[in-house]
Amino acid sequence: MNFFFSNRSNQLWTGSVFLLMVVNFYSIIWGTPMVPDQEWAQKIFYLHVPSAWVGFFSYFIVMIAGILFLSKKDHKWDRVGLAAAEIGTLFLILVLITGPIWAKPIWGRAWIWEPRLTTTLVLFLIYMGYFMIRSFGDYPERSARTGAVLGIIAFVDVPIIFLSVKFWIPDIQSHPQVEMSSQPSGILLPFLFSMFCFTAMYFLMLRYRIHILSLKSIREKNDL
Amino acid sequence: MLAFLVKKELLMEFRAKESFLTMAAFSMVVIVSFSFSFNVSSGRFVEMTPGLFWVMVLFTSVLGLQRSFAYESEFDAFSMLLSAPVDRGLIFLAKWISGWIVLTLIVLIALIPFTLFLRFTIPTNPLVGIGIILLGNASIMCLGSFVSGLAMRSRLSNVLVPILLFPLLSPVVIASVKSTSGWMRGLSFSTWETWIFVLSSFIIIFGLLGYTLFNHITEE
Repeated sequence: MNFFFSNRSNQLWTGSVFLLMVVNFYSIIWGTPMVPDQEWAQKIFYLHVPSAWVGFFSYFIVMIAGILFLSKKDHKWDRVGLAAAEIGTLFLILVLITGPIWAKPIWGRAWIWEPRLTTTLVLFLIYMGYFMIRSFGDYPERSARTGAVLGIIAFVDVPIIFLSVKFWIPDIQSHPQVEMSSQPSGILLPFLFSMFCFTAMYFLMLRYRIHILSLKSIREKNDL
Repeated sequence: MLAFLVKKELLMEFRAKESFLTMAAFSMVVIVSFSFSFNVSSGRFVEMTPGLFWVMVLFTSVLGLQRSFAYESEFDAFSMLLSAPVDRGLIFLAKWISGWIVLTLIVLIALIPFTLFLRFTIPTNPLVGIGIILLGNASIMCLGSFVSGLAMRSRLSNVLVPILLFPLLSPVVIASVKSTSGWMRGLSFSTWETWIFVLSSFIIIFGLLGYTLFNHITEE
C-alpha cells in the first residue's frame, strides 16, 4: 500500500506549505498594519477572502471534473470531483464562520444579506444536498454520475444566484474586499501572499484526499 | 414524439388524479395556514403576499415533482421507458411540460382561495400576472423535473428533492416575487423587467442543460 508521505515530492510539498502557513500567520498578526476603525477585526479578511477564493475555485474544479467524468467515464475524475467538493465545502464553512465574526463589530450585525455571503450560503446548502445524494445513492456508478451532473448544475447556478441577490436588495453594502486592490502595499502584499499560501495548501489537501479516495476504491475493488 | 410523451404524462396524471388532487388540497392547506399565521388585516401584509404566493407555489410543486417519477419507479416502468427508441432528452422535456401544465392549473385554481382568504387584490391587468405565473412555474418545473430525475433512484428521494431543489431555485423565487410585487404595485414594466430576464435566462440555461445531461442521469 502506497503511503502518501513516503513520496519525496509530497514530503517537500507538505513541508513547504507548513512553512508558508507559519510565515503567513506571522505576517497577518505582526506584519500587517492595524486599520484604525476596524482594529483586529480587519485581520480576519486575510483568512476570509483566501478561503472564499479557494472554496469557489474548488467548486469550479468539481464542475470541470464532472464534465471530464461524464465524457471520459474515467473514475479518476469522480475522485477528483468528490475530493474538490469536500475541500471546497470545508473552506466555505470557514467563510461562513469568519464573515459574521468580522461583520458583528463592523456592521453591528452578524449576518447581512450581502450578495457574496448569500451566494456562499446558498452554494453551501446545495453542496449539503450533493453529499446527501452521494451518500444515499444506490450504485457507486450512478452516485458518481449524479455527483458529476450536480456539480455542473451547481456551478452554472452561481452567477444567477449572485446577480439575483445583488438586484434583490441593491442598497445592501458590499464586502470591503472590492477595494483590496487599491490598498497600500502594507495590506495588499500580505493579502496576496495569504491568497498564494491558501492556494498552495488547497492543492496539497486535494492531492492528499484524491490519494485517500484512490486507496479506498482499490480496497473496495479487492473486497468484491 | 415529444407531443406523444407529453400526452402520455398528462393522461397518466388525469386518470389517476393523484398529484392533481394532493397538490390542490396541499395548496389550500398552506393558504389556510398562512391566514392563521399572519395578521391579514394589517396594512403591511399586502407587501408580503407575493412572497407567500410563491412559497405556496414552491411547496405545492414539490408534491407534484415527487410523484412525477414515482409513477414510473413502481414496477420499474422507467426502465421500460428508457428501453424505447426515444431521445432521453425528450423524456425530460415531456416531464417538464406536463408538470408545468399541471402546476399552472393548480396555481390558477389556488388563486381563488388566495384572493379570498389573504385579501389578495388582483390588479387591473391580470394577463401580466398570468404571464409571470407561467414563467415562474416553467422555471420551477424545469429544474424541478431534472432534480426529481436525479434523486429518483436514491434512498430518501422524497426528502432529497426539496433539499436539493430549494437552494438551486433561489434566483427563481427572488425573481418571481420581485416581478409579482412590481405587477401588484402597478409599477412600470421597465422597473422590474430585469426579473423577467432572470426567469427567461434560467429557463433557457437549465432547459438546455437538462436536455443535454438527462441522458447521463438515466444511464443504466
